[in-house]
This record gives sequence, structure tokens and C-alpha cells, in this order.
Amino acid sequence: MLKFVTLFISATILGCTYGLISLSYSLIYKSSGMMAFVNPDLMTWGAFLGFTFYTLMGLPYPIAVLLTCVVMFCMGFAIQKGVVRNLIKRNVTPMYITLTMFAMGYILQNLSQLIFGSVPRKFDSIIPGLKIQLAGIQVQPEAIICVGVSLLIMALLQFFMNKTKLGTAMRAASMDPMAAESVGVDVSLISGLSWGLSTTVIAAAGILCGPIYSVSMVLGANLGAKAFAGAVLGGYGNMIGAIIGGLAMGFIETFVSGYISSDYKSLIAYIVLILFLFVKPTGIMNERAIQDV
Amino acid sequence: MKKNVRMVLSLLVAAVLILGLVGCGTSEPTASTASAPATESGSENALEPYVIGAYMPITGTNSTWSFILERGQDLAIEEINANGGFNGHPVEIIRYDTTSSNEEAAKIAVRLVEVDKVDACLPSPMSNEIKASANTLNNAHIPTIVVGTSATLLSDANWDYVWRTALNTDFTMSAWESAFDEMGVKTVAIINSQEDVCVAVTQAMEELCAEKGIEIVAKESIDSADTDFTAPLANIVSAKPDLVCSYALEPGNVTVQLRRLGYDGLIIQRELPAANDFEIAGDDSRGWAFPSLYVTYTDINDCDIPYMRSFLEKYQAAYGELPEYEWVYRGYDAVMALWEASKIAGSNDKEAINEALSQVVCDGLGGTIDFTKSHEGYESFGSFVYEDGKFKEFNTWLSAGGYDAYKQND
Repeated sequence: MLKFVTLFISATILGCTYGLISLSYSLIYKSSGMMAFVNPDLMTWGAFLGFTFYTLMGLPYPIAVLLTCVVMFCMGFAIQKGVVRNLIKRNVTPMYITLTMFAMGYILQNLSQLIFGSVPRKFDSIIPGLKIQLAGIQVQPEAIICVGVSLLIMALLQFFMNKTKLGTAMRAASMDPMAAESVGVDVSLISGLSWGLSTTVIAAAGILCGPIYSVSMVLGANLGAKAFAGAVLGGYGNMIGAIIGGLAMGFIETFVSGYISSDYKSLIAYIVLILFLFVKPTGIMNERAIQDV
Repeated sequence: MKKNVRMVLSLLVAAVLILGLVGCGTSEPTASTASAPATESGSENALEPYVIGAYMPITGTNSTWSFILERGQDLAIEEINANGGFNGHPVEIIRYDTTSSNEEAAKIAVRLVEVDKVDACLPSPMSNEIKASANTLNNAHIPTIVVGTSATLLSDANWDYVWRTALNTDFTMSAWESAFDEMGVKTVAIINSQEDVCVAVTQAMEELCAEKGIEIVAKESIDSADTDFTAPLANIVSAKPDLVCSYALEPGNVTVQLRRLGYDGLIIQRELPAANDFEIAGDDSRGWAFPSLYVTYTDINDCDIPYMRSFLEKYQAAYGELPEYEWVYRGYDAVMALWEASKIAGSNDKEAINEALSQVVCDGLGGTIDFTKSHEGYESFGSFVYEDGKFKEFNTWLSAGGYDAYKQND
């Protein structure tokens, strides 16, 4: 029973971590129709910036989070304006823009190595000395915060995208840019903002995961593939689906590892994903956006 | 105004792209002739340089410690060039980035032989990359010194031109043979990464356990893309082993998660963990036991080995800090063993140097490098346990009853 509870808690934490990254994938897709494969490496940047502000510079954690989010928002905005927008203006097909995102990912990963170094670093605890016992196992307070923040961001994004004017403008800019512009939506600005917002979400993931898994140049890349699978499983572009998909991947991976074999956890997780998509191609939340690609 | 903003943004992105490319793994080599020896008149030495080819994962998933390996090689070359080079010839090193790819390592080896025509080679420290590339060097009769520790590295191939100045992990099992008896170990659990060196040491431990009748109650593997190890570690903890062997490439996170699940016993590592692993594990690193040729130092005054201390002084003078990981020692030892061979050979001819390598017996940072019996330069080593922020000699610690605090199953 203790093992089951341990695995359950671990799967929830891991799943919410995947979910946060999945949210950023879904947000970009929902608001600009792009597959943002650069996101995992942006998460690494978020973690390193948070580490720099909090651990190295000794700033209070909320200030470090705020600074990281501001810097990362600007970075996301700049990537959209400097790279994505320029490619769209040159009528580059979505496939090539997707490939460009991979290239940007490599560039960011190598840049992080150049600037922050290749050695994994310890991200200081947010609440030093606090030890939480849950059902007999020790849980880091950061892990509980991560779960709470994931659910909060999911709810906020779901509300924002569906119930606010800006969110509606973002969806409109993604669905039909020309029509959106004809009704006064500044598509260029809106797309930039949506990238900035997505990058802020992924930065939050990085700065929350740092104290749990420590910070390294491959932190985002290691988590990104499963998170993408989670976004697809949940219904690519759906905020609630992103968290559910992320949680599903976390649970499959953890329980396969715990009760079958750690050798087969990724194998089984991806087989489940493919089989599920055979049955329900639009994902758990029946998100039809993926069919438009 | 809007155009200006766009221009600035475009320039920023262009700068990011350029910087990124600078940082990216490249197939272009970098050459160094640190402090080449000068002639009597002080003019540049006209002699042909002795060219050493080197490659390592400078970028990619395994790139963590390559910079420190480079530093060890550079310090050795600087010292050699300041002392007359290889039989009067200045030493030059050409480096390539394998980008953590076995395929890239194989291509680089071909380039070193066919294009750069190197005189000797120092391959990647990653055993997988060595296995993918060293055959090319051996076939081209290039004296090659490897610093990977995988047990099967040299035993799987009969390479006449490949030598090792690092500790074969197979040898380290002898450290635990009598210790397990003394500790009364009946059950062991193993968690290992899937890299060649970790798999090899796992197999060696399994053989040792079989030989001694010790039951392996849990065996779990993790891969380099994992960040959460709770599930395999939960299996280990629920199996209630007497001790855990953690053969992961970066053991800091594994240890933190293992301790969090309630295991407070001894954790055997395959080698000295890096300084950042100690930083990540913090207090949880208590009870790490490992075989090693070396330890790392946080204060130069803690070192009482003259040869090592002299090296540390040079390192500190050059880089303003003490080395955080043992790869620096491996890099230095490999070049110095090659230099010793050149002195014995009296020539820089490849065949002569390779022949001379079999006669090398010299000081190394990990003790005596001795190639007279085999291609393995180091066969003896120390065992340590980390406790109270200090490295303690394992057998002394054991005799003093240190293990009592870590006993799991009375």
C-alpha cells in the first residue's frame, strides 16, 4: 500500500510538471497555430534564470519568479517577432516553421551551455528546512506548489482563452488572421503576446521544477517529449486536456516503472498514446484543432 | 518608430542566432600550442609540431565535464612545452566536439587519421564513443590513450595501439569483496543508467554478488532522459536491501530521491562523484562509498600528496579555483604518459612511441602509471566513504565501526 501511495504522489507531481509544459504547447497552438518545439529549451532558460536570480543573486523567490517571467515574456515576444513573424511574412510553410522551432531549440540549448555552463546545479529550496510527510513519504514543498500552480494556471488560461476579449482575439488570430485583422485585431501584436504568455508559462514550469529536479541544460529537453505526448493525448490545444494528458503520461510512466519494469516505461507510455489516438484522434478532451495541421 | 523597433528586434534575434551558432557543436577543430618551447635565440621553433588529436562531447547530453578534461590536457601540454616538448618538438592539440554522438566520434576518428594526420590521439572519455571510434585509430597505428572506465573497453577488442590511464571499473570490485563479508551484507539492490560504463560495472557487481551468494533483491535501470526516479527507487526501498549500488551517471538527484523515500543506508557509487553531485545531494550524500584513484579537494592544504599538490597549485594558478571533478586528472595523466613514452622512445615515430608505451612506469596523479604488465595503466586504487563532509578511508572507517550507523536489516 505504501508503495502504491508513493507512486501515486510521485505520478501526480511528475504529471503536473508535464502538464505545465503541455499547457505552453497548447497555448501557442491555440493562439497561433504553431507547434512550438522550442518550448522545452525555453523551460531550461526559465530554470536557469530563476536559479541565477534566486540562488546566485539571493533575491527573494517571488522577485526571482517575477523577473524570470518578465525576461522570458520578452524572449517569447522577440522569438515571435524576430523569427516566426518574419518567416510567415516570407510565406514559409508551417512545416518549415516547425523545423525552425527545432533549430531554435538547439540554439537555445547551446546558448544556455555557453552562458550558464554544462554542469547541473542545485536550485535552493524555496522554503528551506520545511519537510512535508504525506502518507509516510517525504514530499518537497516545491512539489506541492508545482501541483497547485499547474492547476491554477490551467484554470486561468482556460478562462482567459475562452472568456476574455484578448483570449478571443488570440483564437481569432490563429483561426483566420485575415478576418481577425479586418475586424480590428492587431494579429502581429496578438501573436507576439501569445508567444510571450506561453513562454511565461514554460518559465514558471522551469522555476518550479528547478528545486525538485535541479537545473541542467537538458532539463527541459528531458521533460519536453513526454509533455508533448501529454498535450496530444489530452487534445492538442486544449488547456484542461493539457493537464489531463500530462497527468496521464505521468501516471502511465510511473506505474509501469513501479509495477512492470522501468526498462519499458517509455515504450508502454508511447504505445498507449498511439493506441489511444487510433481510437480517439482528437484526444481526451476531443480537441479538433489538431486536425487542422 | 515601429520600423525601428522591428529592426532592433531583428538585430537582437540575429545576434542570438550568431551567438548560438558559436556555442553549437562544430566539426571545426580548435588547435592549441600552449607555451611552445622557444629556440636559444628566442625565435619560434622551426620544428614540426607533434600533433595530438582529441575529441570529446563538448556539447550535448554528455558534455557536462568535458571542459575540465580539456583543462587537464592543456595543463599537461603547457608543462611539456615548457620543458622541451616531445623530443624538442612543440606539442599541438586539435580538438573536436562529438556532440555526444557515437557516429560523430567515429567520423572524427577518420578525419584525425586521414586529414589531420595526427601523431597520437586522446579519444572521448565516454566509453560508447571510444568503442565507436578507437578501431579506426588502432588500425591506423596511432598511439591512443583512453580515459573511459568501462570494464569492457579494452577487453572486447585486442587493440595494440590503445592504452588506458583510468581505472577499469572491473578492478574496483575487489574493494567490496572482503568489505561485504565484514559488513554482513546479504542483500543488495542496484540502480543503473544505461550508458556502457554503468552497465559494465553493474554486470561486475552482479557477478561479485553471485560469487559471494549475495541476493540482488531489486535491479532497476534509468535512462539519461529521466528526471524522476521515484518509481524504480520505490521498488528498491520496498525490497529492503542491506545496501544500494547506485551506478548512475549523475548520482546527486538519484540519492536525493532515494533518501526522500526513507532509505538511509550505505550507497555504493562506481567512482568519485563530481562536486556538483555533492552540491545537489547536500546532506544526503552521507554514506556514499566509492573506489577511486583520486579525491577532489576544496582546500589545497588538505592535499598531502606532493605530485598532486604541485598539479593543484598549477591548476589554481591557471583557473583561479580547484578542480571539481576527477576528469581533469585523467586528462593530465594521459598526456603525461604519452610524454614519458616519447622520452623512452627518443623519437616521435608512432611505432616507436607505441612500443615505448609498454615500458612506461611513471608518476601519475592517481599513483603509479604502469604499462609494463598490460594496457591498463592503473590497477590499484583507494576506497573511500563520505561522511561528516569528509572523505574517509573506507577500510579504516569500517574497522572503526562506521558501518553500524548505516545498517538496514539487523
